[in-house]
Amino acid sequence: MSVDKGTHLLSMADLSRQSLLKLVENGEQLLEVLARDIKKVPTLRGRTVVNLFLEPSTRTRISFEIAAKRLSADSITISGGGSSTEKGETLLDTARTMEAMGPDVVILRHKDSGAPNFLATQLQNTALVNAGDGMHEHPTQALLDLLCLHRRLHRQRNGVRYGVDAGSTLSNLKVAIVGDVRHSRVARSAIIAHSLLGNHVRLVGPPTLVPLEFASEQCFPGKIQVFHDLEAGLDDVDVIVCLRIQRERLAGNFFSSLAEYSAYFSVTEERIQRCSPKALVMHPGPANRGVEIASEVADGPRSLIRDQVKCGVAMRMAVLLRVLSGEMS
Amino acid sequence: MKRIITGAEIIDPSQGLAEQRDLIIEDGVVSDILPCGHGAAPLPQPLVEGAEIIDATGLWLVPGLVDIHVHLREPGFEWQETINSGGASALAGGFTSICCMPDTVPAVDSKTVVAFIKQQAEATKGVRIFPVGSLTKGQRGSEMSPLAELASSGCVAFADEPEPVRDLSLLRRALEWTRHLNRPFFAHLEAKDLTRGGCMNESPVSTRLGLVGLPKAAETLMVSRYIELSALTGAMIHLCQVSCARSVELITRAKEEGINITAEVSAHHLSLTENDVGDYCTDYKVYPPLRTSEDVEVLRQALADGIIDVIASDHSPCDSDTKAVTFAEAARGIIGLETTLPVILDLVASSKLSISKAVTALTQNPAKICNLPIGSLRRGSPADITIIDPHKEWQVDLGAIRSKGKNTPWIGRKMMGQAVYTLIGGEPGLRAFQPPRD
Repeated sequence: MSVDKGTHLLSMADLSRQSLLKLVENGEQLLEVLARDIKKVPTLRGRTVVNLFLEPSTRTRISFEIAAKRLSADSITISGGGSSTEKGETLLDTARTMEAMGPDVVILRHKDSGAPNFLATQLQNTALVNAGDGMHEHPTQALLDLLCLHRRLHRQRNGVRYGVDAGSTLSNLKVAIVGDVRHSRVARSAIIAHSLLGNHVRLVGPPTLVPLEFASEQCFPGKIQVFHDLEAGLDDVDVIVCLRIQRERLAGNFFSSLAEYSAYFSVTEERIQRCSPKALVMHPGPANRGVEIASEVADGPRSLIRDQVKCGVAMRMAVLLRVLSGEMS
Repeated sequence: MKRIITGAEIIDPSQGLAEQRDLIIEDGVVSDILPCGHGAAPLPQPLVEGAEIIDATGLWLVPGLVDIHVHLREPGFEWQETINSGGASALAGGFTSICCMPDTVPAVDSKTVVAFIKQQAEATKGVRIFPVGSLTKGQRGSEMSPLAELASSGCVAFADEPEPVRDLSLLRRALEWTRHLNRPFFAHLEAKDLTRGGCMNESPVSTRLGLVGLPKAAETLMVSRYIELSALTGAMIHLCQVSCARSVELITRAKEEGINITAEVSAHHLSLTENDVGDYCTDYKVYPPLRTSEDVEVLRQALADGIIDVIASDHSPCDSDTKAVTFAEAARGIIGLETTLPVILDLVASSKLSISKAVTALTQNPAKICNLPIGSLRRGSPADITIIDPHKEWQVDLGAIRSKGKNTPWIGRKMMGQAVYTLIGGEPGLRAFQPPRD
């Protein structure tokens, strides 16, 4: 049995607006499961989920492990540190070994863009979920962010706990993504997700980290603008997504120092008050406090950071269920 | 042995010839090209006496094709290709002469290595193989190779492929020598400081795919550099693998000023774009990278206008281990000896290039750049001949590729047009069809 490309989740571009919203709604239902005392359902009993994390990760990996276990699946993790890839085994041979062991799903994180696409050509009978490939995409992050946003927005508006249509809360939004967009897979997935929903996306940061190409139709279709001035970019937005600034980028001369970056682009309470006082703030984590985001913002009432983590497990449960049902797109 | 090839459409731009004629070969050279003998006016009996007659009616006959940019990988990388397998690949692709690049191990930086290559080439008894010497010792860019020794032992040109020399003062003095030795210098167009980590053309497409880009400036900066160096030294500089419109602009202006430069383009740069990378398929990873459709249009026009002189494949066999990996990790390179001709014929068939310009770029011009006594069918020329069936339908089949490298984006593609017969020095090389005898 050859697995249809429709059962993989490699990119947000694999989804239609409808299936995206359906996933968010499924995630919301699963949050209810996680609110119970016994947080387990038997749906995926007997299925095997392999987490192939060839790039280090703690939060995403644990999130996927817990998600599989909550659904009663068997979860096995192979991480870059302890696997034979360190001995020089290629991704290709790892894939073949996987295929021979016959898991139902492989969750792949890899340092190179397109690694899941490559793996998909090698795995005939296994569904594949992209948990982050290089700078390219991190679809489950974009999905959990939407779930989180949906929950907060409609709680703000309606006070009702569950059951409101995600399509209406998540549309007509202005979203600013601030920071190292160039190297961010979270940003790319978020751009595609928000464009699917018809939202306005602003990409904000210094020109070395937010090249103008992002605003080209040939890059991502949608209402996307690039801003190299923080306050102009944050003007009257509903959501601010902060991206981590990596120290490693200093070697590539993308900015002269973290201090200079933060002096001009750090998301502080004062700046938010001036530009969009009602904005919510998100961060995929881990945050560099004082660099891309001020501590007071990260810990304050407009921050969704803790909720994002909670939504992560529920959303990944929804993705596993959908991928194994063969109905991803 | 005397051979007469009858009935072919002979296309020889060096003589302005494009007509159905009969061609006579004697003692390994073209002895005559005559109006076709048939019906009431057959070829005279004494002429035909003792000759092998090859009926090539309906086929095209051109001077033996020449590819001046080929990587044969031997010595040093014999698992990727050998002089033998590369020669077989060239033959299968209709080429009768190739120039092999010096990026071997050891590099082609001494007469011993040149002698080795020539010895290996003799053993294949087929395609003519002309070695290109390395400009610097070991391709390390710090000391000049013994250029005069390399020239006299048989190198037809010098190159810094694919490691561009950084030291401009070394480059200047070396070019003064190459000029003195009357050999062209093949320049690799890559400013390496701008291409670290790069995988594909830098553009909205690479941004979307999350791949580090290769900016066109990495190529055009080098084009400008070599134009100035050629002006400074008078050296003949041949620009390898031009891929973008801006390079064409710079070359056009330089040629108008009379600067001694020439340029080449590959079949893949004339037909594929960055969008073909699609799903991160490593068969499309190459340097220079595939660019945009605007660049492709400009390159085709430049070839038609003579701004680009030569079609050359940059045949770069890679073993499958280096391609069956992620895009960032994959080796760069596309094989080209067996696919250049059909891809070019396809452009001719769809009126994007004239057959005469295509043949010029594959015969007369490359021969002229390397000062080789081939590329023409004038009386007295060595009988290096390629016979093409322009209507032959075939498919690029993994199992049938003669090169050890299978890294081509055209696996499985249906092609129309193929070389079916070649002669080198009047002796048969490729024989992919048995023509009926008269």
